[in-house]
Amino acid sequence: MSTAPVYTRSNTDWSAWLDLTGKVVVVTTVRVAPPAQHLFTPYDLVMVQFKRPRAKRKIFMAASGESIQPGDTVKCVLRRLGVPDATSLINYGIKVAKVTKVAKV
Amino acid sequence: MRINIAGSTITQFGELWGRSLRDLLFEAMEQAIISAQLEPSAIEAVFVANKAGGSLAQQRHLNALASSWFPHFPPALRVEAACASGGLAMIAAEDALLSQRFQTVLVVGVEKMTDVPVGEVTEVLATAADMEQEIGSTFPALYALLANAHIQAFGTTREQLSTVAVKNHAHAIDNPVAQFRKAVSMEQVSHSALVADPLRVLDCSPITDGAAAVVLSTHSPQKKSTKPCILGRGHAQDTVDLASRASLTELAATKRAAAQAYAQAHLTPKDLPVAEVHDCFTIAEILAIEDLGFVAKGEGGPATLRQDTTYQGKIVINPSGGLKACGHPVGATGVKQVAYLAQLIEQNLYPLALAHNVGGSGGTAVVHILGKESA
Repeated sequence: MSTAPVYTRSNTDWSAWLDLTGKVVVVTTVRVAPPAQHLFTPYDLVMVQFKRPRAKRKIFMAASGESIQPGDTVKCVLRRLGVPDATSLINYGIKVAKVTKVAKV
Repeated sequence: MRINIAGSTITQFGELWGRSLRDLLFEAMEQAIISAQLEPSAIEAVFVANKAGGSLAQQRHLNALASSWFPHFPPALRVEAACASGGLAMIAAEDALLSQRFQTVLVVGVEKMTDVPVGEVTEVLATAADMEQEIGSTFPALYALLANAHIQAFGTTREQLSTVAVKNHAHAIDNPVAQFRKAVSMEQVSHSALVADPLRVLDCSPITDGAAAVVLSTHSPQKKSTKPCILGRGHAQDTVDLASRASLTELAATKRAAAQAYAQAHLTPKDLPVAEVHDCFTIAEILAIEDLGFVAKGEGGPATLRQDTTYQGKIVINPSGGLKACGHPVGATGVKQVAYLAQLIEQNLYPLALAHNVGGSGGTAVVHILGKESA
């Protein structure tokens, strides 16, 4: 069973999310995942509060293995959402990555 | 109009390799009718609660299967509301009785979960979430987000979460149909494998086969009845996806369903000596006892740690062992809660009781208050 078509069909506006930043409200680290995400474990699942133009909360997978905490600023990035089997399309969509502040020199 | 619980039964819960979905369904229906001292022909309609018979047991026509057990093929329908399927089937049956279309109906909840690999069960259970919004989530992960929100807001601790599991396993020891009649220690819970931080394996309810059934009737008992009746009931909904909720430290549907039930029963949370609440995860019990008004918001963890929610405390929460230790055959759970409490009331162990059933991470909530006197 693949949830990819269901999710992808309802999230075709992914380009509107790209580069938007938001603040992490709450986070968990998923260690036992559905089969499509199994190879990403452990990964963070985060609820993000966005400001305008999309002032809403939304749940995303985190893009990398870095530790994300509540209060962190994250940015929407395009990433692979699942590991397909031999016959499936590769499913891409929005994940979030931590925004690291660059120190002023 | 008074709705009596004329009969009730709960099958063995657990990994029941030798029993199929059909076996469990038929066993529960037969035993409930025997318990009600009725003939099968007295059942005018059947309400079947089930979440995933099609995915987990290759059976997607459960209403007809249930009806086919009877010689007269009564009308039957299936109700699905994720883990609240049982509670909602009760509501549907009660509505049918209150409309006076029927006078005696049977509600049966059933789930066969252990015939497929755990990964598949996890994926099927995750469909209780919003699959268009929450990719990468699992059922434990969504409750882990709720747990972390509760920890951030109220300082809820690992020790408090573990106490829920320890208590419910202790309660299940005296329940002959429970899946786990085995005590667990604080250390075992607190050091079990992480599933979704902070929730560990022993914070989670198990995968379970099982069924439960009740016979509901509006017929007036011919002699003074010892049968319990439904004093109040409530049913409320919320968003399926967690991120759209107004608050992450409560399940608003539970609060609204409870308010309906308390008002109908003319009771307050302080009047209840016992409750079966939806502890699919340890944090879920803490949220439930707060949202049902048994303790103040944020006090669920400390109250559990103080032993306020077990025998000799202020209210006994989940005497059956709850979902955590009695088991959680998803579609059966809401019916099992009512059946178990009805039996306690019939045995004169408690005058009143509350059952609380939740679907998904709070998208559906159903509350029933049972007692012996009609409101």
